[in-house]
Amino acid sequence: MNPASLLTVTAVSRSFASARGLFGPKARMIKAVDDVTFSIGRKETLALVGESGSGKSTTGRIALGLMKPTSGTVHYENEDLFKLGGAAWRQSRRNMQMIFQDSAGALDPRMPVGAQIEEVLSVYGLAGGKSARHNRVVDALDRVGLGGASIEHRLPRELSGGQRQRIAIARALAMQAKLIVCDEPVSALDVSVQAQIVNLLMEMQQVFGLSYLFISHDLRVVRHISHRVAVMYLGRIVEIASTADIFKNPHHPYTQALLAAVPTTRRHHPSAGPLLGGELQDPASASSGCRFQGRCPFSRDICRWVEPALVEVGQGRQVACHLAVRADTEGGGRA
Amino acid sequence: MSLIELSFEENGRVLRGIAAPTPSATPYGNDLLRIENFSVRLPGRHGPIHAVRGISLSVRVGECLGIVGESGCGKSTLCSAVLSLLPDNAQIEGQIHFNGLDVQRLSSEKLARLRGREIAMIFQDPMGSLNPVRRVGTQIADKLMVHKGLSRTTALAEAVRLLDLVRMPAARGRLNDYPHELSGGMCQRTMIAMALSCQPKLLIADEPTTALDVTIQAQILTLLSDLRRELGMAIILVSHDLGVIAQTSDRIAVMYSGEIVEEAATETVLDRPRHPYTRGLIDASPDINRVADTLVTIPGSVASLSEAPVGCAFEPRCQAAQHKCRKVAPHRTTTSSGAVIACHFPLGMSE
Repeated sequence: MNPASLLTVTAVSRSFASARGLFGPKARMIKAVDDVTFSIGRKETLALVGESGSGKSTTGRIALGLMKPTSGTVHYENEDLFKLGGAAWRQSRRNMQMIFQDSAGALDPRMPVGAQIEEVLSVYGLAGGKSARHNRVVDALDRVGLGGASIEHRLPRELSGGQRQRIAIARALAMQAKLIVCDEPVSALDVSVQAQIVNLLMEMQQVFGLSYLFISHDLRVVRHISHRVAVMYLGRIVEIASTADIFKNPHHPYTQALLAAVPTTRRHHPSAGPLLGGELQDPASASSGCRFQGRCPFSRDICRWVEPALVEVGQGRQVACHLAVRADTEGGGRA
Repeated sequence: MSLIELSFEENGRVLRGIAAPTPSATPYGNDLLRIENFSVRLPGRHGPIHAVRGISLSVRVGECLGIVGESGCGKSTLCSAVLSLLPDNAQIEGQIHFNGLDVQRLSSEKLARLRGREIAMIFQDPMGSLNPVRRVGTQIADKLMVHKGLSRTTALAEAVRLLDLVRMPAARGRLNDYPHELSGGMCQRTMIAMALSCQPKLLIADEPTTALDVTIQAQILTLLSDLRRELGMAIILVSHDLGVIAQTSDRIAVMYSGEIVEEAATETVLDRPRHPYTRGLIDASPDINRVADTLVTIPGSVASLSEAPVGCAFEPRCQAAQHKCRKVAPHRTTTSSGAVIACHFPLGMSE
């Protein structure tokens, strides 16, 4: 465990029982997250990317302590999150906030947005009296570019999607959060508004020294906002490295395929790798060997039988692939 | 004009349908679809919504036209209009001609033949477009039985062929599946198979990959491009994602607030955008090959579609707006390079 990091997630797994009918077969256990380890430093953005069903959101929830893992630990500022009780737990929770994709669902539809932020402050007993709380709300709204106008008195439905996402950010700021888990925060927004929110998140990171766990399927946004990237496939991290490394020289065949699939406005983009066939398989039908093996264009015999471990292959870079590791020890990356 | 019922064989496929005498050339030369000065007003709770404002557009035989724009710019309303699917209380001006036929004047019988047979459409939510309680094979076969008069057995055999055509894995085994047993990508493949069942001349794809993962999106886009080449059909691809449009289309039409503000060949639009909104869209889209410190943003948010403003609709968000933009709505002009733009002060024109 790295003492310098703000959040450390160690060997976390989480299984769910699959739904079963009244007379159906016995429920199977599905490992949504399997042995995931990562850490986030102060003022750092770690992106969690992967297709739907890869376990990104479950990992995000566990990292926040919103969901207990089946095994593994989460340390926030060197405290085991799931062993904290009472006041210490509340204190940690206050420092860790979440922004969701569906900003409308994350706000109370019947309460003016300003009052909603004030309510959270009073729940946590922050900012003393009523007027101090109100001041902090006004200040937070001002920070996210919603100052001046009487936005605080409006209901969520009277705001646009971009404005509501700003409210969610303001709420996290008013709580003086240190870590924000952003689960697809810009996926539902139009391009022009998406750019505004991405810029705002980056600016707030600079001003308040925030750390982000940025969950997204959009690699274009990820490249822009994050410092490090973890690529997930069927519940496991298959590659984790600095953003520059991932995008310039992806080692894992899945990372390469993900990058190749990103639509770009330049028709001939240099990172073009193999286009991936097939689809994410059913996590319940996990077989032996590498999970990606069925779709991997480079699959060999060993991939069918031995599950590759996530191993260090260079400065701050880990890959779970038999071929990538071999190529790396033979000198030079694969790409 | 009178319709000719056609049934002929081409490359081993039987083609049938209403068609102009020569299948490649239409009464409008190469234009398969021609939309002229088309406007739609829909009743809203707070007065009419002017969703489409005087749009003129054409799609050539076998061409892929990309329509890009943000939510609420009228993209989907325009698509519905082509299939004459607008609600009865919509106020419509202007004309839409498909293959020489005035779509709005067709009898409901002829319209039913046009929809699905000549023009097919696929949507963003494939799961929602399929009947959840009927098997996939039956749904495809139904369409073949109605439109082509096939027997159930032949229709099911044809359904397998279509599913193979759209590269559905283990196509035959999928016939008895229900939509919920398929993934999103497979549902979209099923929708495409249904759309292709009558060899349409035009396929309208309204955000076909928005709900899909990026690797599946790439598969579906490649499939659409391949099928277009193989079958020679035209495609209107609607998306909010400039990257998706750029990779698939020959021509791009950029929509803002119910109008087409710029229309040109794909390379022209991407390399030399003339309209400030197009420029803004390109700059605001993060690109995987380009890293910038901050993304360029377009200030404000998308204009409302209630009554059209006096001047240019983009003026409140435009960095280059001048006095004239507030007073006079810009007309569509064609530049020397063949691009059509609606802007008083197009970018790069002084050079």
